[in-house]
This record gives sequence, C-alpha cells and structure tokens, in this order.
Amino acid sequence: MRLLRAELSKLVSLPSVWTAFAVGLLVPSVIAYLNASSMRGRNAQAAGLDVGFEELGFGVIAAIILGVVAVSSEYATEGEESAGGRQITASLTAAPSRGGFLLAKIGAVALAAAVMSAVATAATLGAVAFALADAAPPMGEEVPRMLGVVVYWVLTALLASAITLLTRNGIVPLAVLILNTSVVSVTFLLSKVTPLASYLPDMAGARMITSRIHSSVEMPPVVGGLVMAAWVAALLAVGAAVFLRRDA
Amino acid sequence: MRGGARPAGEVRAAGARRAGAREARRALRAELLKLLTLPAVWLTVAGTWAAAVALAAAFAAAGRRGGAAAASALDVGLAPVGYAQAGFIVLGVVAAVSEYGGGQIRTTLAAMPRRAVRHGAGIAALLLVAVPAAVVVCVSGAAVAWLVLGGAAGAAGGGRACAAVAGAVGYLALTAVLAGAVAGVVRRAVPAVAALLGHYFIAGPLLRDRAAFAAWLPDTAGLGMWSAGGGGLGAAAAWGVVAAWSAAAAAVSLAVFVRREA
Repeated sequence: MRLLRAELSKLVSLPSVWTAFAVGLLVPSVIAYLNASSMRGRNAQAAGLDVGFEELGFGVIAAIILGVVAVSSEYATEGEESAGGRQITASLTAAPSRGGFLLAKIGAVALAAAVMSAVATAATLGAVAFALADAAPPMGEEVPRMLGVVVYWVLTALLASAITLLTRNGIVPLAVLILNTSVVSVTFLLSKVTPLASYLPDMAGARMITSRIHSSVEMPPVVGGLVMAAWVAALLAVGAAVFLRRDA
Repeated sequence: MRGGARPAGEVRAAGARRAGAREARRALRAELLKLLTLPAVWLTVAGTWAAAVALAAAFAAAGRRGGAAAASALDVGLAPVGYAQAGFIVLGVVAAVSEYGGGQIRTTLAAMPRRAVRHGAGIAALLLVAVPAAVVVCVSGAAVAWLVLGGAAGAAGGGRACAAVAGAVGYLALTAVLAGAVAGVVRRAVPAVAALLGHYFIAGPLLRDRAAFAAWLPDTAGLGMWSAGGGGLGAAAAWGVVAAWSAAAAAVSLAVFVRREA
C-alpha cells in the first residue's frame, strides 16, 4: 500500500502526466463537440451513435503518454548536476523488492488511466449531449461502451508501460504507439493485408468502443477486450521478467 | 590623415565581414559534427528509411492486388511520407534536445558565445542532415513502389515527379526544423515528441475534416506539397504556409534561446 502511494505520488508530480491528462480531456471533448455541432441539423440520431466514442478512441494518446512517462521518467538521466543519476536507483533503494515495486507501478498506472478515462468519457459525452441538445442519443444504454473506453485506456496505458520497460527510453514507444493511434493506423493497413492483424491489441481492443470497424474478422466486444488483455498480460510478463533480471 | 580614414574603415568593415563569415562557417561545422556524431540521429534516419521502404512495398503490393485505379508509382511511393514524417519529427527533436541532456549547452555557448549565430548554425546543420535523408527516403520509396508495381504503374510525367519529390523532401525537412524549434523551447525529448506526434498524427487529421482553419495548419497545408490528394491549398501556397510555420517556430525558439538561461 505504501509502495502504491509512493508510485501515485511520483505520477502526480510529473508535469507530463498532467499535460497528458489535459490532452486526454480536451482533444476528444473539443473534437467531439465540433463533430456533433456540425451534424446537428442532419439526421443526428442515426449518425450520432458513434460520436464521442470515436474521439475517445483517439484520446487514448493520453493513456499512452501516461504509461510511457511513468516508466521512462525512472530512467531519464538527470544531467551533470546530479552526476547523471537516474530516479530508478533511488526508487530501488527505497523499494528493494523489484516485484513489489513493479506491481505498485502497474497499479498506479492503471489507477491513473482509469481516472483519466472516466473524466474524459464524462466530459466528451457531456459535450456531445450539449451540442446535440435533444437530438442526443440516449446515454443509458451506452454504459457498457463507456466501461469499454475505460478498459481500453487502462490496457493501452499498461501496454505502453510494458514496452517502455523493455526500451527504457520514451521516444520509441511513444512514436510507435502514437503513430498507430492515427486516423489510418498501421495495424488497420495491416488488417487489409492479413486477417490475423485484427487480433493485434489495438484492433481487438477497439471493438469495445466502436462497432464500425471494417475488417474481415467479426469479434464481439468482450472477446476483443480479452484478446487485448492477453496481449497486455504477455507483454507485461516479458517486461517484468526483463526488469527483474536486468541491471537497473 | 583624414583622407586615409575611409579606406581604413572599409578595410576594417571588410575584415569584420570576413571574421563574421568565418565565425558562421566554424559554427556550422561544429554543429554539423555534433549532429553527425549522435548515434540517435543515425538510428532515427535508418529506422525511418527502413520503415518508409517497407511501407512503400506494402502499399504497392496492396495497390497491385486491389488494382482498382492504376495508381502511379510516384503516388504510391510517396504515400509513406505521411508516416515517415514521424521520423523527421524525432530527428528534429533529438538534434535540439541533445544539447540539454547533460550540460553540453554550456560547453557549446562557451565555444560560441553569440547565441543567434549558434542557433542559426544549428538549424542549418539540421537542414544539411534532413534534406539528404529526405531525398533518400522519398526516392527509395518511389523506386520500391515502381519495382513492385512494375508495368501496372500509371506513368507520371517527369516534371510532376520532380515537383512531387521536391515537395515531399521540402515538407520533411521543414517539419524537422519545426520540430527542432519546438523541442528547443521545451528542452525535453519525451514531452516534445508527445506533443508533436499528437498534433501531426491525431489532432491534425481529426481537425482536417471538421474545421476550416485546419487547412492552414502545418500538417494539412503540407499535404499540398507532396500528397496526390492535396490539402486544399495549391502547391505554391502550401510551400509558403509550411515554410512560414517553420520560420515562425524558428524565430520564436531563437527569441527564447537568446533570452533564457541555458
């Protein structure tokens, strides 16, 4: 518990995490608002079902930044003034059990991502409801999808952390994961080449959020979430194995 | 004696000009050497090139299988530029941030006290690395697409091909300068990369279809420089807008660099 508190306090004191939070809050809500306002006059009921959720799928960049920064900040050298020190040496001195440290880190990332996604989902769907006024789709039946957004963000943040555990440097995982969140993602292009690509973590996980995926493979949302979770678990296991064995 | 004053002044002015040119030349050489000895620069360029070639081959293979429209090898080969720009963003960031990772900036400024000269040399050195890298990426992408597509490729006129490749190269190089300017202000790699990639790959494409002002943003305007689809602006206007963004970013980063403590 104390480890978890320490990890949360480290996360909360990182400016990048707050920037990520602001991005994750503003990008989906503002773009969903623009999108919803532009379709107000037309058949909003039919078109508006995915408004907000699609944008929340892109807002996952906040979870990516969170997951990457949580790990990469431990390995960033702090410059000549502090003898090129890295935070990880202090962290492991304070928490010598690497397994415990890693569990606390993962827990803190998951918790922060869950809070971020819940706030972002509320803000985005609120903006859509505000823009569409009475034409807004009823929110009551969308609760499972909202949960899907939270699960997607949390799993993505953990995926980012797992990759950063391996690279120890934030730029590569950031570049790869953000590129792959773009409107035409690399995995989406791959799924045109081989149906197997539909089982990649982001393609599978996106089923929890949107039904409009043009792919040859049909997958219910729960299965998509499970496939993504399996990926994350596998990558975390590799990341943990490396972290437990490699010199800090 | 008064008669001799003017020639002496001119001589002095000419000497000062020569000294200034020498200082600029030396600064450029120093910045270029620093850039070329960074492993991260070489890794970024190599990774970008490999990814662009692989994507060009994949696009071309998909295009040949689809076969709907006889896409020209040029358009297919330049399509990966949309992804390769990430590599050039990272290149600009790495170049700018490497000074701040340790205390190198203090050594740099001890050797080159004139901050404006050092900043200009930094941008020029970045361009000298980014332009050849962009040429290699674009030309090899087009060549791979041409090889894979073979006879199925639609022909592109020589003039248009040159203009499109030049546009792609210019766009990638200007994007690297813009990224370097942003990173020079942020001074840290991860936040700079996150912000730039977030704009170029997520916010930009989302805004593109939804807001009219997006046509003037550097990523969407840049489409007019290299993409077959274009970004709503003509090629000349696109060059102007993207160059203006890069110049403005470089000016802001210069102003910040001159004033802020290193």
